Amino acid sequence: MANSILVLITKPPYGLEEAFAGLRLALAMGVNGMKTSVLMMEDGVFNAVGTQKPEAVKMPSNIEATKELYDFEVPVYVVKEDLAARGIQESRLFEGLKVVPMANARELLKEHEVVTTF
Amino acid sequence: MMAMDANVATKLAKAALDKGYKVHMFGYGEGVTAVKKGQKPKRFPNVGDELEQIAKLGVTQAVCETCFAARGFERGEEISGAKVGSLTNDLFKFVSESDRLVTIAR
Repeated sequence: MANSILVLITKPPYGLEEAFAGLRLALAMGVNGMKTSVLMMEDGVFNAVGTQKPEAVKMPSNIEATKELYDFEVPVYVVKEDLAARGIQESRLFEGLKVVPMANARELLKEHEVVTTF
Repeated sequence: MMAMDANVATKLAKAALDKGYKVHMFGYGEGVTAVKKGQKPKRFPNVGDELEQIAKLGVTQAVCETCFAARGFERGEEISGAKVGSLTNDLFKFVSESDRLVTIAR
């Protein structure tokens, strides 16, 4: 019986449905009290940029979807190396995110009983 | 159902069932289209029929209602044995009851 879940967000926002869907899944788990964490990695780190303007494409905000997780103490991590590889400075990220090196991401994988990828 | 993902998931579920595992399946995003009833593919396996068959064998199935509605489908358009449900109730229950979680997606 799983008591914890790690949600990997690997896709960028808005052009694809996956990132928003993964954030919503994490919310559903967190609301129910399951230990839940989110890890943005690969192109998923684009979801961490604080200057997103989803209203320009009439899409729901992935920033808001992420911040809703904070109310349920769901931590959201972002892989440092994947930010650097895409030229995204950490100063560009919105508040509340935890930037971690890939080595820590591997630990996160170990700390959760099940993992799902979006 | 043109995509192979649902067929792969169905075969995996059947294989696990044959080995004695209890199996839940949850459709999310584009995955919800797998439970649309009335599929008539000409050149591909009919995943709707396959899902109905494994539902009869005991595989629990649900899909995200929001995703289903977003694609223009309504309750009653799902195959027999599948439930149009929710993340907070059905998927949470499935994950909570499971020792392993397999995600099949592109």
